[in-house]
Amino acid sequence: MFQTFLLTGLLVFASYAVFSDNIKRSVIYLGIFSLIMTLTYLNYNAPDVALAEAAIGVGISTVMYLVATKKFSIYDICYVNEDVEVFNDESISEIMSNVVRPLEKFLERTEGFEPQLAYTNHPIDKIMREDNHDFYIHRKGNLTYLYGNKSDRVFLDIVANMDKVIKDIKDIRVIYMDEVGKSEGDE
Amino acid sequence: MKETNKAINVIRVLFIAVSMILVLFHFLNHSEKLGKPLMDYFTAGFLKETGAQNAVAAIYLDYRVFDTLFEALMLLVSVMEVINVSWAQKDVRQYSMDKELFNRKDNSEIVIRMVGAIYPFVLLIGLYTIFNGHISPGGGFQGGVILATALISRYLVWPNSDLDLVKLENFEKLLFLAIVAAPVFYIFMKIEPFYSLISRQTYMIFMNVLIGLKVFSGLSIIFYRFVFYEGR
Repeated sequence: MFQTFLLTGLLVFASYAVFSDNIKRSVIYLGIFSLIMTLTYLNYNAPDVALAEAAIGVGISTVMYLVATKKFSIYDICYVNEDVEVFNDESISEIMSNVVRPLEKFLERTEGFEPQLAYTNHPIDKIMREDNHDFYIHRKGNLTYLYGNKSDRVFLDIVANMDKVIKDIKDIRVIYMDEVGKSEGDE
Repeated sequence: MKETNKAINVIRVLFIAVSMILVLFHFLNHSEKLGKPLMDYFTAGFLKETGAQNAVAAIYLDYRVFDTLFEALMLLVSVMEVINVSWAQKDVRQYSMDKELFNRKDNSEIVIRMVGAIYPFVLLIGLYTIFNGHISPGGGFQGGVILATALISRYLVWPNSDLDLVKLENFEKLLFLAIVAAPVFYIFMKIEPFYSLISRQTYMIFMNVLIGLKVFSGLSIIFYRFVFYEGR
């Protein structure tokens, strides 16, 4: 009974750590996972391994992950294409060479941010209402809209270096979300 | 980054499947059924032969001491590799003492007080685990990790790099030399002043202390390198 309880707890906290939205919360779930792992080792009569797991899993790796997340900043990008019916690997690899790779390279080399991309075909206003991304690329027909905040330094840099970041796309409109209504044409 | 070819992916998956089937087939059909003679050998007279009351300590410090040597070497190599990699960052910005002597502005008061209260107990548990490694569960590695945790919790209170990492690394290398030398003289060459339980236990405690200090310094070097030499 106790064993089943422990093993289910392990599974539950492992999936919490994987599927959680927040990285810091994931780290804490991973710490709890290690704690239950310690109990499991004790249950299987391995106190030496349990001690090592407690010291490393709960102590060192949790603190190390927390310090790492503090040092590490993510730029959250959402790519929206409403024309695609089902978003699969092909439609991602289509934009891989002209949008995704240059953008990632630019963010990593110039800005020092870790890019994180999400792809979707849901309508843009629904996504803007429900999720909070830093930067949206919205494609509709031949037009490409870039949404971002004017106070965001990285977004301004992306707009300034647009020819480097987004290749082969001519019609680009830039929309500053904090100045709603006022839209600017570019290129 | 180039996209990988589809044919190569198929070959990879096939290769993995074939090797999995091969390994499982051999494991299920041709694996040697040993019974328990090895376990009986290790658990029968370990107190008399090695002086350890903990069978695990008897194995990793006496019967299988050769493995321990390579584990220690592995930690040493990984520490050296961490130092090597973290130099690769071109704009190394090292935080130093004279910039901000005591930077506690983004540290919470609760954490500082609690870590201060827990600190001596963590040190005590670490030392206990090292010195009692041959009697109770634990040993050099676990105790060293607990000591390193104490040093890391010190970082939460005092986030300045005032440790001399070069000295710590040289200390670790010397400790590795001692870890290799002690079993070579004591276990392999059988040089011992007098054979008794006490001399065996002294050897156990000595080895555990060496391993504990080595693990402690290795993990602290890795942590402080990551914190002060990596990233922004």
